[in-house]
Amino acid sequence: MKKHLLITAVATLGIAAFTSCNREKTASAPTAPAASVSSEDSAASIHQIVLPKYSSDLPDAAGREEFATSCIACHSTAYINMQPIMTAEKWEAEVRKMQATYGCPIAEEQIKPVVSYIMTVKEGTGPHIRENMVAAAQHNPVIKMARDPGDRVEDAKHGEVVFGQYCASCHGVDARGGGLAGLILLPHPADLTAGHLSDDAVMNIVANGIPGTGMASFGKLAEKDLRSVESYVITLCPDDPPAGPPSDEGKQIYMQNCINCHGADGRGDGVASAPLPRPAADFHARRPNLDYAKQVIANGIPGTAMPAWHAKLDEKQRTQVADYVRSFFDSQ
Amino acid sequence: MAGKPTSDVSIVSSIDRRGFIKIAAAVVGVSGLVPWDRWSNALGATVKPRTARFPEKTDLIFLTDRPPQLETPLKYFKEEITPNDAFFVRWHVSGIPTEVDTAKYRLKVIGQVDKPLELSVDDLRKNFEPVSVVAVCQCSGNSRSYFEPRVAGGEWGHGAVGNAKWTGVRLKDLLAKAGVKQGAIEVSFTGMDRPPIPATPTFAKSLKIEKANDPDVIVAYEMNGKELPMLNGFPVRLVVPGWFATYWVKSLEEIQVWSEHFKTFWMDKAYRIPNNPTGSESPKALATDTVPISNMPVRSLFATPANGAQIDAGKATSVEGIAFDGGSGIKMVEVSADGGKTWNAAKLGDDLGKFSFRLWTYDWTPADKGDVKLMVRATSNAGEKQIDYLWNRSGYRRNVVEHIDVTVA
Repeated sequence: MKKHLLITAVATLGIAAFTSCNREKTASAPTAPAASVSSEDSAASIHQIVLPKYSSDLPDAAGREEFATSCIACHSTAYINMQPIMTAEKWEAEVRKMQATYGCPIAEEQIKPVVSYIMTVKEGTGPHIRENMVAAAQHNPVIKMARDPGDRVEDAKHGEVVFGQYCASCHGVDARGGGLAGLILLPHPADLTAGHLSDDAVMNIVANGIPGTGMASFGKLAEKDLRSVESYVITLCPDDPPAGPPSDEGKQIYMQNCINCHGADGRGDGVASAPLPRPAADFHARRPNLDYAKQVIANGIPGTAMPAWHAKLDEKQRTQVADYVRSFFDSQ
Repeated sequence: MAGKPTSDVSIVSSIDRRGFIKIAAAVVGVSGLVPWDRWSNALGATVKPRTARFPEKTDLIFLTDRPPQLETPLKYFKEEITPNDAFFVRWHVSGIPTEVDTAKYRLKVIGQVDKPLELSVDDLRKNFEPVSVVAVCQCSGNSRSYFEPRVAGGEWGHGAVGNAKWTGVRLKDLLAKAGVKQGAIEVSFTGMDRPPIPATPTFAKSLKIEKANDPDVIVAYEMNGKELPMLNGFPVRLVVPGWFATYWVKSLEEIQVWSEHFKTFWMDKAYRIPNNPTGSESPKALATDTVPISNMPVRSLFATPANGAQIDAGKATSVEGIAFDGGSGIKMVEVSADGGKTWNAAKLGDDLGKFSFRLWTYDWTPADKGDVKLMVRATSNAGEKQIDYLWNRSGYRRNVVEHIDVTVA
């Protein structure tokens, strides 16, 4: 049972860091399920709400990864749970309707596994998908990281020790996301060698956690430990800027497929991003390396709203759009 | 845990001294062990619906969170006007507006017009004659979970409906100001909501030009004298009295006039019913001729007592509820306490207009103990009556005679 209480997810590259703005919004009512905001610093003309966020506990069964990279991009699992009991044929018809009518990028070979998963976890007698409200984000202050390079080297040495103590259980000693404690988490713990994050992005995540995931807030650690582990994480994947400007094709593919979540400017602020347990990736705060970006575009990130695109975009197109999303990062 | 309200679900993470992450999930809500059926679980036991509180809303019955679908509990139908915070919520795609700057917001009127318009909410308030109408807003799929055989979709009970006083400007006045060109045949409406994947059809609806010029159709900036809640379509929504809510486009952003048919999935493929007076078909013989859903048929619903309630024998019980139709008003409501053998006239409440809820009450003093099937049926001023059975593949336009089961003890 405990397994099914662990929802969670870990900071996978390609998932947004929270902007400070988002954190303030979600932190405004840590215990209330939802809050209507009448922020003092926002103009009187702005009407704003903060939706409650839910994430899903997906029981382990065949088809889980296919399900997790196909369905929850557009709607939460409550849509599936509320349906009357249906046959596999009827569910397949529903999935095919999503593909043909609603433009779901699901691949043909993913359809049967998705149906199989639904038949197991919804129509079966075992554990079922459960939706849980995600607690509001922590609101620990982010330590500013402007320090001398020499200090950072020293910090990183200490940070490796701190990482081993607090982070390696999920992220793995090699920081590739394969720690034993993270095996049952979905999304899987982040491979911290797969992309470069800004100082603020790392510090936000470490200090405040990622709501709805296995990434807890470590804001109560001593400032030296926080600073150190941040310095260490930054060394795990040095920035790897693209060789040249992205192609027009990459931009076009991005505009046609990605902007409603990731935003026209790659900041993760598209209209469909706000209701997500975690907003879509802000590519100004992180630059995935090319291989990882291509892998994520092809296969999605199970347990997040990032779907698999390999059925819709061929390898060349995936490379083009990967180049494009890698072009946003604000180098420091 | 099945069925408990879930207003305060939280997940608490902490770090213990040995450095392991402990994740305690305080979960209240739907059990992970039985398939969640809104009205009964796999064993047939009645499950109390889950509730949730969303921004600017009170506790409502929770169907889905992303996009939000929230249903009004029946107890609110003891009053003519449904409070804004209890009004049902239904969005089609998950990219819904959560922030609107009214200083920047403009409602566009474009297409086959002489003079395209871009109007702020202030423009709408100051430069056009304000009009108000009390009107029922009902989801096409209200009561879908009662269809038998069951159909897939939003599994609403009876609460995807509400009644409010809508204030705004006539659509025809906006169209006149823009100057509709000769040959215009349709007007389309698009809100601010967008799907996560752009390949998904963006939600849009259309009206024939004649319907768009119906003086009852308004662009509303107020709901019960206040701004609309964000989840009900802030800053303005279309109000098409007498027609199903699918046309009442929320967070309206663009009105476009067309001289040709406006092609959209949401008119051409979705929200269609069999082309016959009741919109019915058989699971074994699906209709091939379908039309866009439009007006609401007459129906009546119980607000109290609740289904399954226990009633005292020999004491007067007030049986109450609502009735409404597509715009002729309610002539009569009748209640049966013997499973439909005999019918008794209910007392009608105040008449707030032909598009409004009409409250009804029936004072019932059951003499004998036992299980009773209470039924209610309404007749409209146009003479329309409710029907005994209806089925269609999408679970739309239900208006069958409803019943509740109570126990007299």
